Amino acid sequence: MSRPAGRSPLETILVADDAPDVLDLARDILEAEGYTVLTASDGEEALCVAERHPGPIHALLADVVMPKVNGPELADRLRRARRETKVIFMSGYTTEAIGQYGIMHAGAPFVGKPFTASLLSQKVREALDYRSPFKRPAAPFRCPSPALA
Amino acid sequence: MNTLSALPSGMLLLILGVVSAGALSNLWVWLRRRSDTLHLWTSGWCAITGIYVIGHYIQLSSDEPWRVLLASRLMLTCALLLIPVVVGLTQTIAGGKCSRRSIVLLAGFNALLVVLTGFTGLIVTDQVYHRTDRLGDQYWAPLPGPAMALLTPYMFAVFIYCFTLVWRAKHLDPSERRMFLVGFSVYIACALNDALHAARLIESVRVFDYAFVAVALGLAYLAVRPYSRRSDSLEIEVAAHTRELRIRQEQLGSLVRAGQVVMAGLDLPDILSRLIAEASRISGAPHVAVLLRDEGSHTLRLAAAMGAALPPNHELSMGQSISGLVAERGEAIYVANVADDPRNSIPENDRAAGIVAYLGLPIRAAGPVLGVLVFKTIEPRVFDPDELAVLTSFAHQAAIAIENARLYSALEDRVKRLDTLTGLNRLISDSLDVDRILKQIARAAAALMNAGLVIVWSADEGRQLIHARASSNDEPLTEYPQRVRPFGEGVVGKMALDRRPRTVADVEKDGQERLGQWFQDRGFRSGVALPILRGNRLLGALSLVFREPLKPNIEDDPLLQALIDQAAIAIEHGRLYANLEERVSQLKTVTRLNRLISSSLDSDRVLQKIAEAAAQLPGATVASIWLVREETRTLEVVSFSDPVMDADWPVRTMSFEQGLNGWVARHGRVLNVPDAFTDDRFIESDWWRTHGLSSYLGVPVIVDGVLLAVLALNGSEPFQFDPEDERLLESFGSQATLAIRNAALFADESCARQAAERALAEVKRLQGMLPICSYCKKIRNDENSWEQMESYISEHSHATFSHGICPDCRSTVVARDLEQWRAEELVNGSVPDPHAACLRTSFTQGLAGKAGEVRDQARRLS
Repeated sequence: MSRPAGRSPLETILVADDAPDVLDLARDILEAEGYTVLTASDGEEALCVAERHPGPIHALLADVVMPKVNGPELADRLRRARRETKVIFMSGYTTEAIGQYGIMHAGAPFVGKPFTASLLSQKVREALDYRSPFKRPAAPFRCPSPALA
Repeated sequence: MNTLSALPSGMLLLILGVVSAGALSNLWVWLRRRSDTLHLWTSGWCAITGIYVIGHYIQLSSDEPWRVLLASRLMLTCALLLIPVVVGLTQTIAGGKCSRRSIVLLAGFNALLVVLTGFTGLIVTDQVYHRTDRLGDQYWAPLPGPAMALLTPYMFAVFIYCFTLVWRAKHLDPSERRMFLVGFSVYIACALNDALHAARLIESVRVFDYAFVAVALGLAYLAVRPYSRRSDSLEIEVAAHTRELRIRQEQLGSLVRAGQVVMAGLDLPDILSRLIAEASRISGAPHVAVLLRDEGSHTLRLAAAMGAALPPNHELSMGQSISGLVAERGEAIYVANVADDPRNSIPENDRAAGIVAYLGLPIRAAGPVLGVLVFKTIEPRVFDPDELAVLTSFAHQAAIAIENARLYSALEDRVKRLDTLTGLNRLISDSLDVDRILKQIARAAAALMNAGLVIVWSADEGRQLIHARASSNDEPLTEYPQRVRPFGEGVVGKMALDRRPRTVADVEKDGQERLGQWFQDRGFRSGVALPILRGNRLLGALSLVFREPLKPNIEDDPLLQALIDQAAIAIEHGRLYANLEERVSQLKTVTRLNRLISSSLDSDRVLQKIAEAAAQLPGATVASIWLVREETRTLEVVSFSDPVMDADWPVRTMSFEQGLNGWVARHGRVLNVPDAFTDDRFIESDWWRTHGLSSYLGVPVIVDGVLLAVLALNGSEPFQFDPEDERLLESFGSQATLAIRNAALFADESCARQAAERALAEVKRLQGMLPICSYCKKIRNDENSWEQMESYISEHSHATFSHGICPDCRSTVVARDLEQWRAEELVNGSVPDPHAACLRTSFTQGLAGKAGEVRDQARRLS
């Protein structure tokens, strides 16, 4: 999979998963791809992180099954404030098994666990690159961090 | 021989004929009338005289010496035999009977003389001589012996004795006696003449043959004549007797017929009517009446009458009027003119009926006088002794008939009583319907004792009340105003108090004991109340009221006693049965409550039921249960048996310091207050008054020393519980305890259960054998399709999976994947920006380092 050149690599992705190993792995992979990664160990924390984060959050990679606030709920609440955020769900369950969480209707991309690094980066990229025919393109993103800038 | 000329044969035959006739006729008379020995003596005299004459004839007419001797001896023997016969005859004439001893002595002596005559020569020798008497007659005569002369004084003495006897017989007719004496004198003279002549002491003529016979005949005639006279009068007498006998026979026949008629029945009224009819027939009296004495009393009552002998419903006491005297003395009384007799109590009645003579006969068999048979005639009349005897005998028969009838009636009565008693016994053993049995007993008593009304009372000794339970007749009792009365009130009440029979002999006479007005209004005159006792307990009473005066000693009547015994048994059965039923019902209540307690966990409902059951206890009007709140020291009412009273009761919660319940809670003891109004502890008097309550009984419900509740009973009368009721009350307490404890346990248990249910609801269980794919670890579900393990487990449990990565996989699978991914990135030729590359390198190195650590750890572990 190739990454289009000339694109700003510094998109911000919020990863929420209650399993720390998976969170670490996802962060490593996405950071290796050049994304800015915010992590949260559950839905509530994710909402807090998002609230405190001043810049845009381009994508949310959320586990479906989490304690307190689960993935779809997190996505709903996050997108009320940040309409631009793309949502990618991930879960060890099959999509049929988690149909009860309503993610299928959301039409969001889904990454089954265990995932490979390439699958994850591909799915994230696809989600970020997806342009809805009914929406204006998002404004170009500037990295807020002076170090990265 | 010329002897025949001395005694012509015609003459001889005539003498013999006369003598034989005398002997035979007298013998004939004697044979018919053995008691008249005179005829026997006369007959013997005539016969011996005849033999003597024959002997004399033979002596006179014989030439042969031996014939002469034989004839002489025969004559002498006859003469000697005549001596005792003459003595006997004389004694009979003079004294009516002879002395047997003197006759026997005389006969013995003469028999000795006869032996001497026959076998010795002392009196007559064996020689004969030819004798010529003074008249010139010649004949052969025996030569007399030396003792022949001695016979003369002997004969003389005997004849003198006989003469004296007749002389002294003053009772004889004087002329007859004279003739006897004259005849005897002639007879003695002739006899002595002949004896002296025969003894050759004198030369005389043998006169004896003629004179002897003539005198003998004369004497015989004299002897027999008064007897024939007497026989004439006897005949008259016999005829009179025969007539009399015939009359008596007729009377007896009449009496027998009357007796038969009277005896031919067992029904007393029937017997009495026939009795007076027969009495009138045999006595000829037109007015006849029978007064009978009331058994055991001193009253004579008119039982049957014919004509106007006595006014209807006539009553006399013993000794009153003439008939009363007859009954009292047991003797017949005859009054020639009864209307004027001062003893007569009904002279005007007799005068009006034209009655003149009165005859009263006691009717009596063996025992006491049963009554009086009264005869009254309308013309002057004298009852001769025979008539009296017949009528007395008739009265005697009447007595027997009346006694028979009474015995029969008593027997019938007894059979009837026995039947009744047997029926009652059967009823008592068959039936448990006490009221029905008591009613039957009352009816039986009324029928058997001829009572107008019989009431069986049942006594309540505890409350000192006696109440009418059954009567022989329904209608009067329902009207009867005093069906329940306290001891001591009225005749029955007084009887209940002293437990002795009480009698009202007669309302009209008895001033002390009064029959109730209700009874008097209904025409009852007398009554008796008898206690029904069982041991020391008074079970009830049997009271009988009569329209007539009380029979004496009715309370000792064995039948009445038997009825009382039966009533006692019936009442006792009834009580036992009622107790049994009550116990059964109590047991049922307890069982029902127990069932309720064990089936229901609604303690309020159970306590309500317990309160309702407790309110059924005798005397209890309402029952309530108060729960103890130990922490606040208060009582809270949880159930009331009566919803109306419950609604009224103003105090729902009361402290331990308050009211009677508070006292019970404080002290933990049973409190029995007979009258709460006199108790200063009690509260809410208005409520008590409104519901007519006065008594209180509070029972603490205590378990293991802890007071749980108070069971309170209220009633209008003081509580008097028997042991059964106390046990029941105890069991109510225990049940209340159970209910309260059950409720507490249930509440605890229910909490625990709810918690457990909640816990259980959170645990879904996985069990049994799960088929799992050994490669992909999918599990085959019930729909036979393969399902992801996490999905399956999530479905069948409340676990959710949080998919992480274990260190092993991290160091193997993930590390490999990352290496592969980096290589692919490099191959793709994309030049990462230095910052990214740097990052990636460090990341890869970090990964590798971590993988190395994992490997080291794995090695150490293995």
